Amino acid sequence: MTRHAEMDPGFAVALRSALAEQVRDSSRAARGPRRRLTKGLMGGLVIVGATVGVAVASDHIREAFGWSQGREIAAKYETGRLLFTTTGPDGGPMEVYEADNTAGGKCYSVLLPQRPQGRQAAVASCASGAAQQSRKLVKLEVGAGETSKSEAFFLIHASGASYVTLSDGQQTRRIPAVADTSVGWVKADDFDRPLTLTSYSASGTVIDQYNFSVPSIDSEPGPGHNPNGGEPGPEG
Amino acid sequence: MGDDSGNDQELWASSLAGDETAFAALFDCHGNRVFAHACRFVGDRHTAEDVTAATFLELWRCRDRVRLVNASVVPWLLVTATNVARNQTRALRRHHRLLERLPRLGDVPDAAEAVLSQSILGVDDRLTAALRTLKSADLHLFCLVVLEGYSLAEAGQVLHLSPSSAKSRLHRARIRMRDIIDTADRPPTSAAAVHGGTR
Repeated sequence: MTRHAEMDPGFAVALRSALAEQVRDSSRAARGPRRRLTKGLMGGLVIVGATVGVAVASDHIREAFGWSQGREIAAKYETGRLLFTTTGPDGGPMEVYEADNTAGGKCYSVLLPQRPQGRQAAVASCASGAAQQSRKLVKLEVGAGETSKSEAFFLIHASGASYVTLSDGQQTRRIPAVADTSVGWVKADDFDRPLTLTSYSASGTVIDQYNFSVPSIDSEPGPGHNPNGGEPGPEG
Repeated sequence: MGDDSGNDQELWASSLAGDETAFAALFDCHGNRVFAHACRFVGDRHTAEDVTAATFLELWRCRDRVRLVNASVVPWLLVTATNVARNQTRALRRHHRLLERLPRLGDVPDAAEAVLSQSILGVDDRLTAALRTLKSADLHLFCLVVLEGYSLAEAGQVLHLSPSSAKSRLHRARIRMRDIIDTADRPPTSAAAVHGGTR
Protein backbone atom coordinates (compact mmCIF):
# COMPACT_ATOMS: atom_id res chain seq x y z
CA MET A 1 0.00 0.00 0.00
CA THR A 2 2.48 2.66 0.98
CA ARG A 3 5.38 1.45 -1.11
CA HIS A 4 4.76 4.26 -3.57
CA ALA A 5 4.91 7.01 -0.98
CA GLU A 6 8.11 8.95 -1.32
CA MET A 7 9.74 11.71 0.63
CA ASP A 8 9.76 15.21 -0.73
CA PRO A 9 12.90 15.30 -2.95
CA GLY A 10 14.20 18.48 -1.31
CA PHE A 11 13.82 16.94 2.12
CA ALA A 12 15.50 13.73 1.01
CA VAL A 13 18.50 15.58 -0.41
CA ALA A 14 18.89 17.64 2.76
CA LEU A 15 18.52 14.61 5.00
CA ARG A 16 21.06 12.67 2.94
CA SER A 17 23.52 15.50 3.34
CA ALA A 18 22.82 15.78 7.08
CA LEU A 19 23.34 12.05 7.61
CA ALA A 20 26.66 12.17 5.76
CA GLU A 21 27.66 15.12 7.90
CA GLN A 22 26.74 13.18 11.03
CA VAL A 23 28.99 10.29 10.00
CA ARG A 24 31.81 12.67 9.10
CA ASP A 25 31.58 14.53 12.41
CA SER A 26 31.44 11.34 14.45
CA SER A 27 34.45 9.93 12.66
CA ARG A 28 36.43 13.11 13.26
CA ALA A 29 35.45 13.13 16.92
CA ALA A 30 36.52 9.52 17.27
CA ARG A 31 39.92 10.29 15.80
CA GLY A 32 40.57 13.53 17.66
CA PRO A 33 41.07 14.13 21.38
CA ARG A 34 37.93 14.26 23.46
CA ARG A 35 38.02 17.67 24.98
CA ARG A 36 35.70 16.71 27.83
CA LEU A 37 37.64 13.64 28.85
CA THR A 38 39.78 15.54 31.32
CA LYS A 39 36.74 15.84 33.53
CA GLY A 40 37.07 12.13 34.16
CA LEU A 41 39.88 12.99 36.54
CA MET A 42 37.23 13.92 39.06
CA GLY A 43 37.11 10.18 39.59
CA GLY A 44 33.60 9.83 40.97
CA LEU A 45 33.98 12.12 43.94
CA VAL A 46 30.77 13.73 45.07
CA ILE A 47 31.28 17.43 44.58
CA VAL A 48 27.85 18.68 45.46
CA GLY A 49 27.75 22.43 45.81
CA ALA A 50 31.41 22.94 45.10
CA THR A 51 30.67 24.11 41.59
CA VAL A 52 27.33 25.82 42.16
CA GLY A 53 26.62 28.60 39.75
CA VAL A 54 29.79 28.34 37.72
CA ALA A 55 29.34 30.11 34.43
CA VAL A 56 30.44 28.00 31.51
CA ALA A 57 31.27 28.73 27.92
CA SER A 58 28.30 29.25 25.65
CA ASP A 59 29.19 26.37 23.37
CA HIS A 60 29.16 24.07 26.36
CA ILE A 61 25.69 25.30 27.29
CA ARG A 62 24.51 24.75 23.77
CA GLU A 63 25.83 21.22 23.98
CA ALA A 64 24.00 20.70 27.25
CA PHE A 65 20.65 22.03 26.11
CA GLY A 66 20.73 21.73 22.37
CA TRP A 67 19.83 18.07 22.19
CA SER A 68 16.84 18.37 24.42
CA GLN A 69 15.35 21.76 23.78
CA GLY A 70 11.63 21.58 23.16
CA ARG A 71 10.06 23.32 20.22
CA GLU A 72 7.70 25.31 22.39
CA ILE A 73 10.01 26.31 25.23
CA ALA A 74 13.51 27.41 24.39
CA ALA A 75 16.47 27.69 26.75
CA LYS A 76 18.14 31.08 26.93
CA TYR A 77 21.68 29.95 26.42
CA GLU A 78 23.23 33.11 27.81
CA THR A 79 21.74 32.33 31.24
CA GLY A 80 23.07 28.78 31.31
CA ARG A 81 25.30 27.62 34.14
CA LEU A 82 26.60 24.49 35.75
CA LEU A 83 24.36 24.10 38.77
CA PHE A 84 26.12 21.26 40.55
CA THR A 85 27.97 18.01 40.08
CA THR A 86 27.06 14.77 41.77
CA THR A 87 27.79 11.09 41.32
CA GLY A 88 26.30 9.10 38.44
CA PRO A 89 25.25 5.44 38.36
CA ASP A 90 28.71 4.23 37.36
CA GLY A 91 30.48 6.27 40.02
CA GLY A 92 31.54 8.97 37.59
CA PRO A 93 30.51 12.61 37.74
CA MET A 94 27.04 13.70 36.72
CA GLU A 95 26.62 17.36 35.83
CA VAL A 96 23.38 19.30 36.23
CA TYR A 97 22.96 22.42 34.11
CA GLU A 98 20.33 25.11 34.43
CA ALA A 99 19.16 27.90 32.15
CA ASP A 100 16.21 30.28 32.09
CA ASN A 101 13.67 29.61 29.40
CA THR A 102 11.25 31.59 27.29
CA ALA A 103 8.22 30.48 29.34
CA GLY A 104 9.35 32.02 32.62
CA GLY A 105 10.70 28.78 33.99
CA LYS A 106 13.92 26.82 33.87
CA CYS A 107 15.50 24.29 31.59
CA TYR A 108 17.63 21.58 33.13
CA SER A 109 20.01 19.16 31.49
CA VAL A 110 22.06 16.34 32.94
CA LEU A 111 25.31 15.20 31.34
CA LEU A 112 27.59 12.29 32.12
CA PRO A 113 30.93 13.72 30.95
CA GLN A 114 32.89 10.51 31.35
CA ARG A 115 30.82 8.66 28.80
CA PRO A 116 31.65 8.65 25.09
CA GLN A 117 30.63 11.64 23.07
CA GLY A 118 27.12 11.30 21.76
CA ARG A 119 26.10 9.29 24.81
CA GLN A 120 26.61 11.87 27.51
CA ALA A 121 23.16 13.45 27.71
CA ALA A 122 21.06 11.66 30.32
CA VAL A 123 17.85 13.60 30.77
CA ALA A 124 16.59 17.13 30.27
CA SER A 125 13.50 19.16 30.92
CA CYS A 126 12.15 22.58 30.12
CA ALA A 127 9.24 23.53 32.36
CA SER A 128 7.26 26.75 32.46
CA GLY A 129 7.30 28.81 35.64
CA ALA A 130 3.70 27.85 36.35
CA ALA A 131 4.44 24.15 36.02
CA GLN A 132 7.33 24.36 38.46
CA GLN A 133 5.22 26.14 41.06
CA SER A 134 2.39 23.63 40.91
CA ARG A 135 3.95 21.55 43.70
CA LYS A 136 6.82 21.80 46.13
CA LEU A 137 8.12 18.48 44.94
CA VAL A 138 7.54 17.25 41.43
CA LYS A 139 9.24 14.95 38.99
CA LEU A 140 10.00 17.07 35.95
CA GLU A 141 11.16 14.37 33.59
CA VAL A 142 12.37 10.80 33.34
CA GLY A 143 14.58 9.78 30.48
CA ALA A 144 17.35 7.58 29.29
CA GLY A 145 18.72 10.28 27.04
CA GLU A 146 21.65 9.09 25.05
CA THR A 147 22.67 6.41 27.50
CA SER A 148 21.21 2.92 27.63
CA LYS A 149 17.93 1.20 28.32
CA SER A 150 19.25 -0.42 31.49
CA GLU A 151 19.15 2.80 33.44
CA ALA A 152 16.99 5.88 33.65
CA PHE A 153 17.49 9.33 35.06
CA PHE A 154 14.99 11.74 36.54
CA LEU A 155 15.01 15.43 37.19
CA ILE A 156 13.18 16.75 40.24
CA HIS A 157 11.93 20.17 41.20
CA ALA A 158 12.29 20.22 45.00
CA SER A 159 11.32 23.63 46.29
CA GLY A 160 13.24 24.61 49.44
CA ALA A 161 14.78 21.17 49.83
CA SER A 162 18.24 20.52 51.16
CA TYR A 163 18.11 16.93 50.05
CA VAL A 164 15.70 14.33 48.69
CA THR A 165 15.35 10.64 49.43
CA LEU A 166 14.35 7.99 46.93
CA SER A 167 12.69 4.90 48.39
CA ASP A 168 11.43 1.71 46.76
CA GLY A 169 9.76 0.56 49.97
CA GLN A 170 12.76 -1.49 51.03
CA GLN A 171 15.77 0.70 50.49
CA THR A 172 16.17 4.44 50.73
CA ARG A 173 18.82 6.45 48.94
CA ARG A 174 19.67 10.04 49.75
CA ILE A 175 20.29 12.36 46.80
CA PRO A 176 21.34 16.01 46.87
CA ALA A 177 19.22 19.02 46.02
CA VAL A 178 20.74 22.31 44.96
CA ALA A 179 18.82 25.48 44.09
CA ASP A 180 15.47 23.68 44.25
CA THR A 181 16.71 21.03 41.85
CA SER A 182 17.74 17.43 42.20
CA VAL A 183 18.57 14.58 39.91
CA GLY A 184 18.58 10.84 40.44
CA TRP A 185 18.84 7.58 38.59
CA VAL A 186 17.55 4.05 38.81
CA LYS A 187 18.69 0.78 37.29
CA ALA A 188 16.47 -1.62 35.37
CA ASP A 189 15.59 -3.56 38.53
CA ASP A 190 13.61 -0.56 39.70
CA PHE A 191 11.68 0.00 36.49
CA ASP A 192 7.90 -0.35 36.77
CA ARG A 193 8.06 -0.34 40.57
CA PRO A 194 6.46 2.27 42.82
CA LEU A 195 9.07 4.77 43.99
CA THR A 196 8.69 7.53 46.54
CA LEU A 197 10.53 10.82 46.61
CA THR A 198 10.58 12.80 49.84
CA SER A 199 12.07 16.27 50.12
CA TYR A 200 13.64 17.49 53.36
CA SER A 201 14.69 20.86 54.68
CA ALA A 202 18.19 21.43 56.08
CA SER A 203 16.86 20.65 59.55
CA GLY A 204 15.48 17.30 58.39
CA THR A 205 11.81 18.28 58.29
CA VAL A 206 9.76 16.64 55.56
CA ILE A 207 8.64 19.21 53.00
CA ASP A 208 6.74 17.12 50.49
CA GLN A 209 6.36 13.63 49.05
CA TYR A 210 5.84 12.40 45.50
CA ASN A 211 5.14 8.91 44.14
CA PHE A 212 6.03 7.74 40.65
CA SER A 213 7.43 4.86 38.67
CA VAL A 214 9.88 4.61 35.80
CA PRO A 215 8.44 2.72 32.83
CA SER A 216 10.55 0.09 31.12
CA ILE A 217 12.58 1.30 28.20
CA ASP A 218 12.51 -0.57 24.94
CA SER A 219 13.75 1.91 22.45
CA GLU A 220 15.43 -0.01 19.72
CA PRO A 221 15.91 -3.49 18.39
CA GLY A 222 19.22 -5.24 18.13
CA PRO A 223 21.17 -7.37 20.58
CA GLY A 224 19.58 -7.20 23.96
CA HIS A 225 16.24 -6.05 22.62
CA ASN A 226 13.41 -7.59 24.57
CA PRO A 227 10.46 -8.03 22.25
CA ASN A 228 8.32 -9.12 25.15
CA GLY A 229 9.04 -5.94 27.03
CA GLY A 230 7.34 -2.60 27.26
CA GLU A 231 6.81 0.24 24.87
CA PRO A 232 9.69 2.12 23.28
CA GLY A 233 11.13 5.04 25.13
CA PRO A 234 10.78 6.27 28.67
CA GLU A 235 7.51 8.03 27.96
CA GLY A 236 5.98 4.85 26.59
CA MET B 1 11.84 -12.23 1.95
CA GLY B 2 11.26 -8.48 1.87
CA ASP B 3 12.39 -7.16 -1.47
CA ASP B 4 15.61 -5.60 -0.24
CA SER B 5 17.58 -4.44 -3.19
CA GLY B 6 21.22 -5.44 -3.17
CA ASN B 7 23.47 -6.32 -0.32
CA ASP B 8 24.03 -3.90 2.54
CA GLN B 9 26.97 -5.73 4.04
CA GLU B 10 29.63 -3.80 2.17
CA LEU B 11 27.96 -0.41 2.56
CA TRP B 12 27.42 -1.05 6.24
CA ALA B 13 31.02 -2.08 6.80
CA SER B 14 32.23 1.03 5.00
CA SER B 15 29.85 3.18 7.02
CA LEU B 16 31.21 1.76 10.25
CA ALA B 17 34.68 2.63 9.04
CA GLY B 18 33.57 6.25 8.73
CA ASP B 19 32.69 6.37 5.03
CA GLU B 20 29.97 9.01 4.85
CA THR B 21 29.14 8.28 1.21
CA ALA B 22 28.43 4.65 2.11
CA PHE B 23 25.99 5.70 4.80
CA ALA B 24 24.37 8.15 2.39
CA ALA B 25 24.08 5.31 -0.10
CA LEU B 26 22.23 3.22 2.46
CA PHE B 27 19.82 6.10 2.86
CA ASP B 28 19.41 6.28 -0.92
CA CYS B 29 18.58 2.58 -1.01
CA HIS B 30 16.15 2.42 1.89
CA GLY B 31 15.01 5.95 2.75
CA ASN B 32 11.75 5.81 0.84
CA ARG B 33 10.95 2.36 2.14
CA VAL B 34 11.32 3.57 5.73
CA PHE B 35 9.26 6.65 4.86
CA ALA B 36 6.47 4.50 3.38
CA HIS B 37 6.50 2.34 6.48
CA ALA B 38 6.33 5.41 8.74
CA CYS B 39 3.28 6.60 6.80
CA ARG B 40 1.39 3.60 8.16
CA PHE B 41 1.62 5.00 11.65
CA VAL B 42 1.55 8.75 11.31
CA GLY B 43 -1.03 10.80 9.56
CA ASP B 44 0.99 13.36 7.69
CA ARG B 45 3.99 13.64 5.45
CA HIS B 46 5.94 15.96 7.73
CA THR B 47 5.84 13.61 10.68
CA ALA B 48 6.66 10.61 8.50
CA GLU B 49 9.70 12.49 7.20
CA ASP B 50 10.73 13.29 10.77
CA VAL B 51 10.35 9.62 11.70
CA THR B 52 12.48 8.64 8.70
CA ALA B 53 15.19 11.10 9.64
CA ALA B 54 15.18 9.98 13.27
CA THR B 55 15.32 6.33 12.21
CA PHE B 56 18.47 6.83 10.14
CA LEU B 57 20.03 8.91 12.88
CA GLU B 58 19.26 6.08 15.31
CA LEU B 59 20.88 3.68 12.86
CA TRP B 60 24.07 5.65 13.14
CA ARG B 61 23.78 6.30 16.87
CA CYS B 62 23.19 2.61 17.64
CA ARG B 63 25.60 1.34 15.01
CA ASP B 64 27.41 -0.90 17.48
CA ARG B 65 24.21 -2.79 18.18
CA VAL B 66 22.65 -3.01 14.73
CA ARG B 67 21.98 -6.52 13.51
CA LEU B 68 21.83 -7.26 9.79
CA VAL B 69 19.42 -9.95 8.64
CA ASN B 70 20.56 -11.78 5.52
CA ALA B 71 23.00 -8.95 4.91
CA SER B 72 20.20 -6.38 5.00
CA VAL B 73 19.79 -3.49 7.38
CA VAL B 74 16.14 -3.01 6.38
CA PRO B 75 14.51 -5.17 9.09
CA TRP B 76 16.35 -3.20 11.77
CA LEU B 77 15.30 0.06 10.13
CA LEU B 78 11.66 -0.98 9.93
CA VAL B 79 11.48 -2.10 13.54
CA THR B 80 13.17 1.09 14.67
CA ALA B 81 10.87 3.23 12.51
CA THR B 82 7.91 1.55 14.17
CA ASN B 83 9.34 2.34 17.59
CA VAL B 84 10.09 5.92 16.62
CA ALA B 85 6.62 6.42 15.14
CA ARG B 86 5.01 5.07 18.29
CA ASN B 87 7.11 7.17 20.59
CA GLN B 88 7.74 10.32 18.66
CA THR B 89 8.26 12.52 21.70
CA ARG B 90 11.47 10.94 22.82
CA ALA B 91 12.96 9.97 19.52
CA LEU B 92 12.29 13.25 17.74
CA ARG B 93 13.43 15.33 20.68
CA ARG B 94 16.72 13.52 20.68
CA HIS B 95 17.38 14.63 17.12
CA HIS B 96 15.49 17.89 17.05
CA ARG B 97 18.54 19.97 16.20
CA LEU B 98 18.97 18.20 12.92
CA LEU B 99 15.25 17.94 12.19
CA GLU B 100 14.80 21.67 12.55
CA ARG B 101 17.49 22.29 9.96
CA LEU B 102 15.79 20.24 7.29
CA PRO B 103 13.68 22.04 4.68
CA ARG B 104 9.91 21.81 4.67
CA LEU B 105 7.46 22.32 1.88
CA GLY B 106 5.21 24.40 4.09
CA ASP B 107 3.61 24.61 7.48
CA VAL B 108 1.58 21.83 9.03
CA PRO B 109 -1.21 21.06 6.54
CA ASP B 110 -4.79 21.89 7.34
CA ALA B 111 -7.46 19.20 7.62
CA ALA B 112 -8.29 19.08 3.91
CA GLU B 113 -4.66 18.86 2.93
CA ALA B 114 -4.16 16.14 5.51
CA VAL B 115 -6.91 14.03 3.94
CA LEU B 116 -5.43 14.58 0.51
CA SER B 117 -1.98 13.78 1.83
CA GLN B 118 -3.21 10.55 3.37
CA SER B 119 -4.74 9.57 0.07
CA ILE B 120 -1.53 10.29 -1.79
CA LEU B 121 0.53 8.46 0.81
CA GLY B 122 -1.75 5.46 0.61
CA VAL B 123 -2.53 5.44 4.31
CA ASP B 124 -5.35 3.09 5.26
CA ASP B 125 -7.01 4.45 8.38
CA ARG B 126 -8.49 1.06 9.31
CA LEU B 127 -5.11 -0.60 9.10
CA THR B 128 -3.46 2.19 11.08
CA ALA B 129 -6.10 1.96 13.81
CA ALA B 130 -5.84 -1.81 13.97
CA LEU B 131 -2.03 -1.73 14.12
CA ARG B 132 -2.26 0.55 17.13
CA THR B 133 -4.04 -2.18 19.07
CA LEU B 134 -1.21 -4.69 18.76
CA LYS B 135 1.39 -5.25 21.44
CA SER B 136 4.89 -4.12 20.59
CA ALA B 137 6.39 -7.48 19.62
CA ASP B 138 3.28 -8.57 17.73
CA LEU B 139 3.24 -5.28 15.87
CA HIS B 140 6.86 -5.64 14.74
CA LEU B 141 6.20 -9.21 13.66
CA PHE B 142 3.05 -8.34 11.74
CA CYS B 143 4.77 -5.45 9.95
CA LEU B 144 7.82 -7.47 8.95
CA VAL B 145 6.01 -10.62 7.81
CA VAL B 146 2.61 -9.51 6.57
CA LEU B 147 3.27 -5.99 5.36
CA GLU B 148 6.91 -6.24 4.33
CA GLY B 149 7.12 -9.84 3.15
CA TYR B 150 9.88 -11.20 5.37
CA SER B 151 9.86 -14.81 6.40
CA LEU B 152 9.04 -15.78 9.96
CA ALA B 153 12.64 -16.88 10.43
CA GLU B 154 13.99 -13.52 9.27
CA ALA B 155 11.59 -11.56 11.42
CA GLY B 156 12.34 -13.79 14.38
CA GLN B 157 16.03 -13.17 13.88
CA VAL B 158 15.79 -9.41 14.22
CA LEU B 159 13.19 -9.61 17.00
CA HIS B 160 14.98 -12.32 18.97
CA LEU B 161 11.99 -14.66 18.77
CA SER B 162 12.09 -18.42 18.39
CA PRO B 163 10.29 -19.81 15.31
CA SER B 164 7.50 -21.29 17.44
CA SER B 165 7.02 -18.11 19.41
CA ALA B 166 7.03 -16.03 16.23
CA LYS B 167 4.49 -18.33 14.63
CA SER B 168 2.05 -18.26 17.52
CA ARG B 169 2.43 -14.51 17.97
CA LEU B 170 1.80 -13.89 14.29
CA HIS B 171 -1.24 -16.13 14.30
CA ARG B 172 -2.67 -14.22 17.22
CA ALA B 173 -1.88 -10.87 15.61
CA ARG B 174 -3.51 -11.90 12.32
CA ILE B 175 -6.70 -12.89 14.10
CA ARG B 176 -6.78 -9.67 16.05
CA MET B 177 -6.16 -7.54 12.98
CA ARG B 178 -8.80 -9.40 10.98
CA ASP B 179 -11.38 -9.02 13.73
CA ILE B 180 -10.78 -5.32 14.11
CA ILE B 181 -10.80 -4.59 10.40
CA ASP B 182 -13.90 -6.78 9.88
CA THR B 183 -15.67 -4.92 12.63
CA ALA B 184 -14.76 -1.59 11.10
CA ASP B 185 -15.99 -2.74 7.67
CA ARG B 186 -19.30 -4.15 8.93
CA PRO B 187 -22.28 -1.83 8.44
CA PRO B 188 -24.26 -1.10 11.59
CA THR B 189 -27.22 -3.37 12.19
CA SER B 190 -30.64 -1.84 11.87
CA ALA B 191 -31.15 -2.03 15.62
CA ALA B 192 -27.84 -0.41 16.27
CA ALA B 193 -28.58 2.23 13.68
CA VAL B 194 -31.89 2.96 15.33
CA HIS B 195 -30.17 3.41 18.65
CA GLY B 196 -27.43 5.42 17.04
CA GLY B 197 -24.66 2.97 17.85
CA THR B 198 -22.62 0.28 16.25
CA ARG B 199 -21.90 -3.21 17.28
